[in-house]
Amino acid sequence: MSEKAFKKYFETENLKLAYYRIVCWPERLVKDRFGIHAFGAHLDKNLKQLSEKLISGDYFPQRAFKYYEPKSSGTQRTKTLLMIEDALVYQAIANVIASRSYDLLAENDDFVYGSVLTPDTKNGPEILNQENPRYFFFKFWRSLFVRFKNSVIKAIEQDKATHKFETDITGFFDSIPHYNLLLTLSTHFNVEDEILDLLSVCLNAWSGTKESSTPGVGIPQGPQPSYLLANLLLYPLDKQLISEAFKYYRYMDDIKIYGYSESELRNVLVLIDNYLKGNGLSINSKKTEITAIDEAKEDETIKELRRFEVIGNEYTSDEAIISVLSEGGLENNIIKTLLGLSDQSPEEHDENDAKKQIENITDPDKIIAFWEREISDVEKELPSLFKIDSLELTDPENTDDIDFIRLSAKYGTALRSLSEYKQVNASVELLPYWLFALKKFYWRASNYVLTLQYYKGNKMLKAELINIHLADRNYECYRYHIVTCLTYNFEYSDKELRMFFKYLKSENSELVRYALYCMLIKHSDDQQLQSTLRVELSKELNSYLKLITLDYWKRDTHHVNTMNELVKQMGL
Amino acid sequence: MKFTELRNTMQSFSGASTPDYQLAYITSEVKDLLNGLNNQFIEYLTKDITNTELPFNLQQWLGSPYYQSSNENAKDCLEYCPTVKHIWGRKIKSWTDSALKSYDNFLLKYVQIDKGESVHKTYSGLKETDVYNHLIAKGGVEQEIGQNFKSIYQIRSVFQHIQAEEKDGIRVPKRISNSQCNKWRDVIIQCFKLSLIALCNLILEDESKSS
Repeated sequence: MSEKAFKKYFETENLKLAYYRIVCWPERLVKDRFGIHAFGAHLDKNLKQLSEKLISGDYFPQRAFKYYEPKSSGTQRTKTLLMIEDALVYQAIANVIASRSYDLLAENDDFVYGSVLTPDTKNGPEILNQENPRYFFFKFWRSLFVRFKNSVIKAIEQDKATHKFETDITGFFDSIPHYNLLLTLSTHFNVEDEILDLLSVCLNAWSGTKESSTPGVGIPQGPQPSYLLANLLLYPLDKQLISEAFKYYRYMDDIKIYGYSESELRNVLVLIDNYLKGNGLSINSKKTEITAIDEAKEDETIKELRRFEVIGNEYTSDEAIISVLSEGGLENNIIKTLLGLSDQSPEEHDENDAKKQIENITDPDKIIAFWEREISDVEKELPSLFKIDSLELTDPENTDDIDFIRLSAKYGTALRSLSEYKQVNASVELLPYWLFALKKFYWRASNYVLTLQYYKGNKMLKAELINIHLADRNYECYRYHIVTCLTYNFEYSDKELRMFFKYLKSENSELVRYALYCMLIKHSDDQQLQSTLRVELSKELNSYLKLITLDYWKRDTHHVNTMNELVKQMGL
Repeated sequence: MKFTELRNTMQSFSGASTPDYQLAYITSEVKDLLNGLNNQFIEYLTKDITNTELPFNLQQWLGSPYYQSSNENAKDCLEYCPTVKHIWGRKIKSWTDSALKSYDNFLLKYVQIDKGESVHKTYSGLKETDVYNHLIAKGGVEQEIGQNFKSIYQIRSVFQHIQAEEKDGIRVPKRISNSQCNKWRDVIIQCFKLSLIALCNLILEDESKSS
């Protein structure tokens, strides 16, 4: 094994940059938050040890923690949470590849909009020495999406394209063949063979679903480096389509091409189909169509894109980072390094954010009036989606999850902002409508529960959430969000907690079991129930579940037992 | 790669042991607590038991060598359980042992130095119970303090000596259940709480009289 490449990829400074970047990963659920704290408690020492382990060839990846996220189609997406050391290795490799490929990828900035590298990635670990380093790996998604939307609108409305070809790739991340990906990395981005060998082993360890591995196929969905690798696999296709002057727009695997004749687009379809087939992938035939654009009415794609940008976490990436850091455990200097220094550029923040509209208003009365108007708008608009005195949609064909997300985000933001000025209560009359959305559009539960937190303590909501938790046995991520919402917004009697313990016993999903452990730990001050919980936890087969649950237990000094003893009891 | 090699590789990915730094992190709480107390273990423990702020400077009042001895034993208590709320089951045995050693110093200082009284010895050396009996004999609040400490001492003796029961004519060790330990724990903590609050009040009264 050549040590030279390993030293370049896994020197401590690059691993440190990887660590900071992982803290900045925007998706909270795919981050090993326990590992981030445990590793960060003695960051330099742990980085040095990991670096030595990697360079000497003693590093070996572990199977990852996996969970399923529901999709609107009813199928599920496998999400992957890599253990911290694995995430560091993956991100460290991505750091070097990003630095090397930045200029090449930047040439495609007007065509490729999903997961675009920040300019800082070009400089690698050098940015650690900058006065105000920014650690985000990708540009903020919302501004990219807005550019994507505007480009598509221009192609259709301004450039008067007459035909459109839209497609996406079937099960993109789960279907990527390692061989083709690694070959692309070798051929186009000069990634060293020994690194590719290591990456091959890692991808095999992290591929597949919770229940089974899929050696040779699939990259983990969730960790940020995967989005870079997916883009790199499609880089040769991007180059070819761009070189032939197509009006080509790609947002990850969502491909849109506009032209002036059906035959022109038919040729592109064949070209893309051939490229994907040659790389073990296939276009999604159900979502593939070449259609004529009707100038007389608003194009469906534009209509969809205009509504779509409200999706996503309503919190900014910075808030997500602060929430990771605020859980404690990190050295103060790491928190100082990361807080405030990892802002996205101001121009990259959401242009449609209601907050933008009032950023120049300083009069508190006007600010209060603005937010009250926003609240009142939602309180009128939400019931108008339904028939009078009923929970039946007025126009079921044209009302979907996006309508509810838009209103939910607007309402939540307004309530949160207004609460800074005065006492504010969410309207109880809206609650049945939010619950309707939560049940019907279960794949958007993470969005809706953010608004439901403003109904803290509401008995009807509590009963409904418990019912949903009991009724839905299919989607673990959905149940996880429901239980988490129940945990932080309600109080429980001993009888109720014992009922939840029974649910824990019969729960198959590790993700939901974690949420139930947290609920019971948070609310039970009964020594016997805690003792029973400890016994139950000690029987868990998954060590990671034991560790993250103990970590949660540890946070509450009123409930914690001596951790040394607990760790022994858990057999860790 | 041959199928069998690949299968072996795939099987090797699971079952990794928990890294040491993770175990060190998860068990760091007690260590961090002790480090954060700036060596004032007895102050922390007393506040925790009485659930009130200390009305005077404990280190100043106890003085050497009582303070050092109390402090060391209080540290042992905190290593067993970071707060009294964490005492569960059999932990109360070793916790009580250290807590009694800590607070016996309080009684010795109060009786011998503050009051200038000598304690009657039952045997050749001074026993804990001699001090308790001395206080009991004085009556009033001091009697209550002595009685509470004696009760704690008697429960501790139950922990230290094998409790036996007779089965078919043979004496066999009797198991102490966790729930029994928890009942005793409640009694012990309450006795400590009442005695320490009462003792603090006596010390304050004496101080105000002398000033």
